[in-house]
Amino acid sequence: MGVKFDFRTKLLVIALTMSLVAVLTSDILIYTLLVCLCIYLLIQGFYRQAIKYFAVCCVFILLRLFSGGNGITFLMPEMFLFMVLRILMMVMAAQPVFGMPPGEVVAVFKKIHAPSGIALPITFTLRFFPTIRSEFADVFSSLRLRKLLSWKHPLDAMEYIVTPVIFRSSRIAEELAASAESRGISNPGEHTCRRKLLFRKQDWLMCVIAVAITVMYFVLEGMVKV
Amino acid sequence: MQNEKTQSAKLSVKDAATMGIFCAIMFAVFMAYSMLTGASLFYSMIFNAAGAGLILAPFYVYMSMKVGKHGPALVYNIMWAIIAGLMMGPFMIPWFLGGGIIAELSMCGKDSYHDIKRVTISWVITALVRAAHGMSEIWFFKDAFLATGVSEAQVQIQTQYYTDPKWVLLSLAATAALAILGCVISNKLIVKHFRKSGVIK
Repeated sequence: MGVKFDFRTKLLVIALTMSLVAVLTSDILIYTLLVCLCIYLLIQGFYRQAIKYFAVCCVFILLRLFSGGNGITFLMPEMFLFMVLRILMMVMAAQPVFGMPPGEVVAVFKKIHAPSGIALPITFTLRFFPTIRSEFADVFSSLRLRKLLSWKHPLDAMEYIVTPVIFRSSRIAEELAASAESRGISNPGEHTCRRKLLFRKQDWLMCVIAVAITVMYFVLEGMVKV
Repeated sequence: MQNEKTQSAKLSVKDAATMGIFCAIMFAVFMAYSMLTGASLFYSMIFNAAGAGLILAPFYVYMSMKVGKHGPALVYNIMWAIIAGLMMGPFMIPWFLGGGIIAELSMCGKDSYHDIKRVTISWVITALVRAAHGMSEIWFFKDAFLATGVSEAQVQIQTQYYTDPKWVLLSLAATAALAILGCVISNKLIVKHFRKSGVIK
């Protein structure tokens, strides 16, 4: 079990990573930022994810080094390698938010007075995100079993994939909505939360470290450019 | 009675769940599709949004018709604005947000979310906003785009394609055409499976 951070701390780390990803140009700074993000995941107990992301990043870094900044033929242009690395960095920064319990997400949105028209869909998106792969995997394995997947008939294949996925997802949406309704999500009164949303010492410490690292990277980036 | 009408016009928790889940599916499908096709820079720049307009259409049409109230077009584009802001840089947020507002405005009027023609219009707008976002990086946000550390060679290629009216028109026309085709196919699926089973009115 790792350190638990408040949602606002996680949000700050995402915002700072976003600003760094949008500004950093030096390869060495990008690679060291990847290491910082791995440490950020490890201290929160996301061991498996940290190792997985780090391994994928290493592969792409090696490909970039191997290609000398020119991409690997037309199959893997430099832009593709560049984009994947940056997207991976953002995914690493956002990973702790994906793993948050839905109840905590709802409580956070209530606390920051986010409009429910946006807050609720985001809550359900975060709740559903980790299960998408298994939803598609079930449909694909069922279609393979019946030998219904074929490149010869792409429109039929599209229908066979899309229809069950939509049916299943629609049913899940109804179940999640019923579950949320039964717990009083649309109750107009004051909502209480079992989880205490506290900005503790570790959050202050993490925020200070994150801001300090960001400032340091900005300074180093300026020095590299000069 | 008046109160009931007001209630039904508001987005319910079920609608929020439908939008949230279908946005998640569309994002996952788009990422998988982009990873598969991203290897070809030419395809990514010119035809990525066109292909996405076709394969994501069934989910968008179903989501819009299932919710049947104002909101899905805007919420979907706000989700994309957040994702684009995180992945490509904050300068992309207003672009997708503006697109979302235009897509939602195109759905003005009563019962428009049950009309496939109106849903198709909002989907074409959404697809065109996505198709033009790469162009907008060159046209409007070149400095911010360069600041993201993108290579000079990449900017040169993008500028070469996105400032040539021939390629710009080809990309936008293919996107609009495939988005419309996607909605036509989706409507057939809706009639064949979902309306027949009573899932959609």
